[in-house]
Amino acid sequence: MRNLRPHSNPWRDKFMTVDTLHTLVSGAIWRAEQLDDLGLDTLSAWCDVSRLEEEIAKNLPVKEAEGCIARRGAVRAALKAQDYIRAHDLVKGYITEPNAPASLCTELNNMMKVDTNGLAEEFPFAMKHHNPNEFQTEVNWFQEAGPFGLAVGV
Amino acid sequence: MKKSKSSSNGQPKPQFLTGSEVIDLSRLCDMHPRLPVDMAVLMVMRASLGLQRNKHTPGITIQLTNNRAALSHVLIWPQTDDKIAVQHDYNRITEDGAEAIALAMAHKNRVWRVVRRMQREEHADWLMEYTDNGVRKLVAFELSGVDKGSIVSRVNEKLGQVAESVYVNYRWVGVVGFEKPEATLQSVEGQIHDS
Repeated sequence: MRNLRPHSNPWRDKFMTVDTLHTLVSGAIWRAEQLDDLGLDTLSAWCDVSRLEEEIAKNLPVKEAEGCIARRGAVRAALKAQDYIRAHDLVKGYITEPNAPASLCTELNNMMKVDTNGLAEEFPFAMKHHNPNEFQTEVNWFQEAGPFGLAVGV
Repeated sequence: MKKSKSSSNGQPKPQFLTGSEVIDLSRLCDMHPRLPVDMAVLMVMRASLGLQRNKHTPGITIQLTNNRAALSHVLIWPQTDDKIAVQHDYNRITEDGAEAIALAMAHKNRVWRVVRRMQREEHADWLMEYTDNGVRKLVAFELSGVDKGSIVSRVNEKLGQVAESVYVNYRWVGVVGFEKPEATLQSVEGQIHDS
């Protein structure tokens, strides 16, 4: 997976409990929803939610209800943060986990399908020539390097 | 409420509220240790604004329907200056205030605790837990508030919503009406369970 855990933090690894993560994700979801209601930019807020959900998922087995909820939450929040590559990587990891329930795999794949359909409606020409992953890579490259960088990259 | 008894000098003793009847919103974080403190403070503040704009004062009796059983509680809260209501969205006062009251009532009446907030697409606001004969149970808890008027249609609407929640043992709704005030805690039909 790419950039899912960029920095190791010994303090976090030692003391961050699932309870603490649950408290943090509750606050993060609440803030993101309040920003959504106000019509403000929520991409970074949902990115925070996705990372916290992912941390919870790492600590809870997929066969537990809270583990399933966290995995769905990590993917859904990544899509809300418009980070398709991250969402795709998370789904790839979760559906190949041992003991992953078939219903969870179906739901995760459905989430990606719905999001891809949304992209196809919004960017019909680009999606005709690229798969969602390639499309997102191009968008990320454009955002980081600007149009000149994109031209050089091509 | 304890019955007032006459003291030795024949004067009636003052009435005291017993702990089981009183719901103190300022203790929301004690009831739900996993609730973020900043969030709880804001929710309780919005609950007080919602109650006060309906002309209620701390110590009012709130009627509760707990899965068809009628109860009443005395509700107390830290009073908030009504002038700061302009800093808060009108609907958020109703919704977040209702969440504070319903979470407190769920703890008092069903001994539930917050596990975490859930994203909207999970069809419930909160994941709650309780222990039944040593076995941990999970509850999807969908909450809503009504500023004016009846809460009946909102309860039915929310029951339909939370019924779609998965991976939990039980599905419940909590709806608070600020006008009366009143509240309902109701399980989805077929999932009724007395903890």
